Amino acid sequence: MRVIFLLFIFFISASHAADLYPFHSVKQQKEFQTLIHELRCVVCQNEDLASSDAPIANDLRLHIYKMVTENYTSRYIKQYMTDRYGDFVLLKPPFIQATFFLWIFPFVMLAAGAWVYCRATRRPRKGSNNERGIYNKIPFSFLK
Amino acid sequence: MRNIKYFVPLFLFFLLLFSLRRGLHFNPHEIRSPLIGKSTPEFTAYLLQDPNKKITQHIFLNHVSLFNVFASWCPSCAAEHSVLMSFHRDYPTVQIVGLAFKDNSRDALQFLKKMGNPYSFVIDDERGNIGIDFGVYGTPETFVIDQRGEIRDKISGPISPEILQNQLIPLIKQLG
Repeated sequence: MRVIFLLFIFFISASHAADLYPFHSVKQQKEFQTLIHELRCVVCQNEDLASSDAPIANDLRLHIYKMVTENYTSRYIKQYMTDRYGDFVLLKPPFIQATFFLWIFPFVMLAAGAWVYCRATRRPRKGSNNERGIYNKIPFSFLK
Repeated sequence: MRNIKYFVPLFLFFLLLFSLRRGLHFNPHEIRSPLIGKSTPEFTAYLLQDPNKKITQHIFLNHVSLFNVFASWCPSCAAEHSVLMSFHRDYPTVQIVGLAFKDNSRDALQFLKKMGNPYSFVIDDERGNIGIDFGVYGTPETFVIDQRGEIRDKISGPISPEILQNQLIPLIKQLG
């Protein structure tokens, strides 16, 4: 009896997610899942629509669900959302003029860091009196 | 100076400092609406007070309007309501259209009865679909719409007397 009870509980939780948004095709279900993971919840802004508990997230999930079952493309649905809420609603920002620095900056910093590292680890040439920073001034003789 | 390059990190640090300081004033919840500068979305809706009366986006034509999204369950809406009431008294030519967003019609009507009704029309949006078309994500939100039905500004959150004086009224005056 106890085993049956435990199995019952187990299967309820496993079927919960599937029942909420029933789909006729696996393709649509995958599309839906991808979309709600790629869109930001505008209220709980660090969460995606899939995991947010905000009421508006619930409404938007339902809206998107309806659009997916009515065969609107993912591209159309994303455009629908950005038309109303702006580019901010995409968790992956588009590569446009406004987000240019957002995208480029990490690579710029990486390059800058690499350059600084190279400069800093260059060994001073013995006996030269050039612009290599303070390393020349450290008396290395004590290492002998 | 040959040693000017040693000041570069310090300069970058100050640059960072100024950027961060400026960033303190940004509010991520004030998402600039992509609808600003565009015509209002098309919609067909029913009035809260007369469920048989159908209206469309044409109500915004030939008027300077405020489109105020509110709900009876929203405490900030109750807080801003008195500001709306006094604005309506002072600027009666500005049409205020209300959207009862995700609200039970009985509760919304009760709210208006209790707090006063500055609205020329109140749209019943119990499902919230019209709100979503306007990119509403929280209540209250207020749109300023010109005579051509174009959205000129959106205020997220309650209208404080400061926002009224500094943002709303100058825009209204500008729109004629």
